[in-house]
Amino acid sequence: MMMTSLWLLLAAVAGGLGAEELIALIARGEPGALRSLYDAVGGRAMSIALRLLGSAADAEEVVQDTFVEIWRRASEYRAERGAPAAWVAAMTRSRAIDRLRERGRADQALRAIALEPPRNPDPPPSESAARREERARIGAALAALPPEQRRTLELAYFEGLTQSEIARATGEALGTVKTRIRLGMEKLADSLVEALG
Amino acid sequence: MTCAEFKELAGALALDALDADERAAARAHLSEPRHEGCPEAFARATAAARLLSGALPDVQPPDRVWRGIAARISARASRRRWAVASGWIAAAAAAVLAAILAGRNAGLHSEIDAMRARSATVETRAASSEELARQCAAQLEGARRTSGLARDAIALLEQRGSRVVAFAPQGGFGAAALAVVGSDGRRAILLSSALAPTAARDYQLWIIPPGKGAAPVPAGLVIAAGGIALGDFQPGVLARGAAALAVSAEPKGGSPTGAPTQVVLVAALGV
Repeated sequence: MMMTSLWLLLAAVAGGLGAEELIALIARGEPGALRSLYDAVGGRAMSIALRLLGSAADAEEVVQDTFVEIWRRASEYRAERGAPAAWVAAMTRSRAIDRLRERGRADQALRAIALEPPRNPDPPPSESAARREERARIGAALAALPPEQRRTLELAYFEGLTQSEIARATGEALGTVKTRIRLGMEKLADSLVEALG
Repeated sequence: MTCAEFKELAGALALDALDADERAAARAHLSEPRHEGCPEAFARATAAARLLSGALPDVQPPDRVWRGIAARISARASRRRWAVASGWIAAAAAAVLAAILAGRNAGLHSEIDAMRARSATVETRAASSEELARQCAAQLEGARRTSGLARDAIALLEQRGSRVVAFAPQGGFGAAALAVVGSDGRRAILLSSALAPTAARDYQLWIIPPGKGAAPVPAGLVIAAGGIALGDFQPGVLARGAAALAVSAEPKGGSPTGAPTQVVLVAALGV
């Protein structure tokens, strides 16, 4: 392999593409690969779990459960369904929502009623340029939505509320909530999927 | 549910924002044989929903989270067929572990059991590789005695928080390798069965610094000891930071140009 290929490889490393190879190694039973994947995307998993659950202890348990599940189910990963980081985040979110539903929704609905999203934590100093750019693009796509669509999507994704729960929490008609989610998701897909998916 | 009705709900289904009955109906619709673009609409919405996780800044979990994961997978790993999974290269790491187990006092296992959470990473490797460790112990024991670097690799493996990263073969290269990386990332030692230098060829280590376009930095040559090839990535270079480690095939003595001639193995560090 000559230098040109090495630069391509560097680009792959910077873009997180190496994580797919890590998942293949995890499926073969290599614990070091799981550690490397955890180093790469554990921060994202923790972030989404913490945002949904609002409790560091619960979030830590969910992240643990998620990576143990990845260890068990790595062979089920399919690259065509999305990047590894998004796959891990989706698994984390699903587990966090399960926990929310076990816990009961009263406290969650109360939080949502405030309609003020929690302040995001500061990005870590070690955040890569690629990660910073990804975050900026997704943030810009969300910011481009009409405020009511954006907030409805945030309540669904980051607070784990169903459409009915959003309607109850906000006092909006259920039909209105459904329309906002449908339109918001279509716009997000238009602006993000081709660019980042 | 009609296809039109499903497509109205596809976004909410992807967000897991449907009530239970609606979710069940939507899932049932997806399993029907004929559609007017429903799977495509759902796949697109799912892709958009998954990307939303990237909107939040990462939050680094505390160390105890990984220790808990390592402790839990160690029990599962011991039930796996390690030989099928990892092949000879894993055996090299296993053999290093065997050397640890042989070289330390007989109470190491009970010590590990007692301090499972603290030493979970080391225990994971031990639990998952015992069988091949026995097969290769004699071979590596020789390496341990004759090579200071093998001893360093053993010490690094024993170090709390150390980890093993796998190298990916490049350009059709027919072998793999592992590296033991210290807990602070300032020491990394390569282990391989397939990189022994020949009369005409050396294998050279490279450290790829963070940052787009950063040039690979030469970091020493691979040596062979006791049938195992070992490589010590120069700590002074590693201390300046590394996005990846690489190995290249070179003419005897190393790269004549200061750049890798043919990269054969690469391992990303904290992608």
